[in-house]
Amino acid sequence: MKDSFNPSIEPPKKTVTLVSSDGYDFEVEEEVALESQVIKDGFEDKAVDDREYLLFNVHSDTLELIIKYCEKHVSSRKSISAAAASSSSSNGEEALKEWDEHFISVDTNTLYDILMAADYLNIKSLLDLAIQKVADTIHGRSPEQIRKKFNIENDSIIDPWASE
Amino acid sequence: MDASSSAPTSKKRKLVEGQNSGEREDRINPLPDTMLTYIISFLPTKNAVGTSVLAKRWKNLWASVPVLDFDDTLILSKSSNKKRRVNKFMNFVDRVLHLHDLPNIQKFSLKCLDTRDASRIDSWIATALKHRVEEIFLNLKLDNACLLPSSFFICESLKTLKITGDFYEDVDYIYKIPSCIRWSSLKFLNLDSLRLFSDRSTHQVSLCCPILEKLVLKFIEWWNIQSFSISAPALQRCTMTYNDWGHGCATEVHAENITYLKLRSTMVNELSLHNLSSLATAYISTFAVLQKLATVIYRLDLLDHLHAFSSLMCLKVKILHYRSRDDQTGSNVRQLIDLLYHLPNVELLLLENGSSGCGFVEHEDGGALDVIPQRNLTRLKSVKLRAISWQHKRAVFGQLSVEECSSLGKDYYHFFLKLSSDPKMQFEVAKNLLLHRGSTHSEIEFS
Repeated sequence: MKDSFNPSIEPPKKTVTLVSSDGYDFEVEEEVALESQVIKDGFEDKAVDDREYLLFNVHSDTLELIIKYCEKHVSSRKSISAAAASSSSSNGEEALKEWDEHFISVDTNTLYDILMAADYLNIKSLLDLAIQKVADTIHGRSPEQIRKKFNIENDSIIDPWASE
Repeated sequence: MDASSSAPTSKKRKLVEGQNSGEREDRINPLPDTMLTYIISFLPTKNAVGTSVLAKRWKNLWASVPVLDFDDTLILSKSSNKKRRVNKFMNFVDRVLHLHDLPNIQKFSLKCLDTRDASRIDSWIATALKHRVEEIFLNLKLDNACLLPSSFFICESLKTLKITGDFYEDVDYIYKIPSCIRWSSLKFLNLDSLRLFSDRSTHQVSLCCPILEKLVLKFIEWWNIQSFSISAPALQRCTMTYNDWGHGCATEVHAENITYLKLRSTMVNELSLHNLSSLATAYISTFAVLQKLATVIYRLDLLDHLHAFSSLMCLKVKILHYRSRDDQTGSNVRQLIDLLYHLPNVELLLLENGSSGCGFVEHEDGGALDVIPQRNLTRLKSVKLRAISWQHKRAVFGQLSVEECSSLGKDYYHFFLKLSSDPKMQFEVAKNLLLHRGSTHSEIEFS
């Protein structure tokens, strides 16, 4: 059941330009970019016409995903708080969790790209999501399986826990 | 998404994938140690310690992870002899706590369903407390009451505490608590399906959490505790679910900044919530009839302080009890009106019958409605009535809502009516609603 009283037209959004390591420009809404703590810190000090960020460590493929994640979270937060304000029953948080799970179901390389980018941009929720995914991959696997999965070379001379 | 027009092309993506398959296979080793430690912190300690065999670099990483998560059901699954398994688990925990080389522990989680050695568990928790632990999660199944170390109840580093039991086996989850508990840094407290008991002759327990923000008490059974007093001046969200078991414990909550209250109760035990002036959202569900609920709300200081609910914006009332024949018809309505009188800012009102019974009944002649003040409920935007049984000719609640709202000329009103299957009744109510000029949006559901 949708509530019929909804917020009116919003003013035009301010935007920020993010430049990927391979030189692609991404124009995103200010609040989406502010999901990154790195961008948020010192954002106000930057001149309005100079809101361009060169992200040397983030490839355009990854940046596209990161922006997708941030946009989803900004919009979901709004709809969740709107639902809470009108107290209409909402499963927004669960839906978002499901979305997150789907979002992070990527191949190992993409997962590390996301992980490193989330760390570099300091997006806590995304970093936690990516790390949880890596941890889930490790969980329940034998050392040999983990080594194989992550291509870790076993350089230990003696395996001290081998008897366990 | 509003990504720019220069979004990467599929051609370029292919190129990158080609690179990936070649040289970028191993992506975990280039990660800095801090990141690897962070990854390990998401694992149960058993698996965290297990990573030490992966390679030289991993050998000691786990020891600098500030998170310890012990679960005897994980350790115990492989070996068959229960006693051996339990011993193995206990030795494991001892060894990890010994080898762990950080001065502070951020999170300590302990789940013991088979390890019933209370003194060992006690010493582990004491070790965690010594390391200025910030988060504790406990799920301990013990033969006797769990005697947590006395330092636990005055711990100053604790920020999050969650103790869970088992709703069906609460006899195994008994915690002895002292008469005075003070957690000066605690922000989140969640106690679920436990028996709490006190051996003090005063039978009184006071809990003082000056910066507590969120409190959840679920299925708590009180033993030898006659009064439980919570002082939490910074509390914002409070959920209390059926803490009515045991021998009649009166719970008192002092939380003047509470904004969200979710209360489910049979109201067998006394419950008082003092000074709810900032309450904005309340969900109250009770087995009691409305009169009882009203009494509860009166107990929430409604009658003594008429502005106690002045900030309340959303009220959901769900009545689960079948109304007894002795109830005075109409008294429910009067009490509802009394209640509305004290909710000047309420925007959403949901009245719901949980069962097929008739907890709400309309007044025989609707006379009680005359006393509704026209100037009241100026901010009411939405009234939802669900599963209300309409036995009499006059759809009192329908009228109540329509009249209340229409007299105010507000923009939107929302009616969600679930009515009886009597077509005559349906017609009557629908006519009543649709004829009202103030209602710009009506939704009527017949079932």
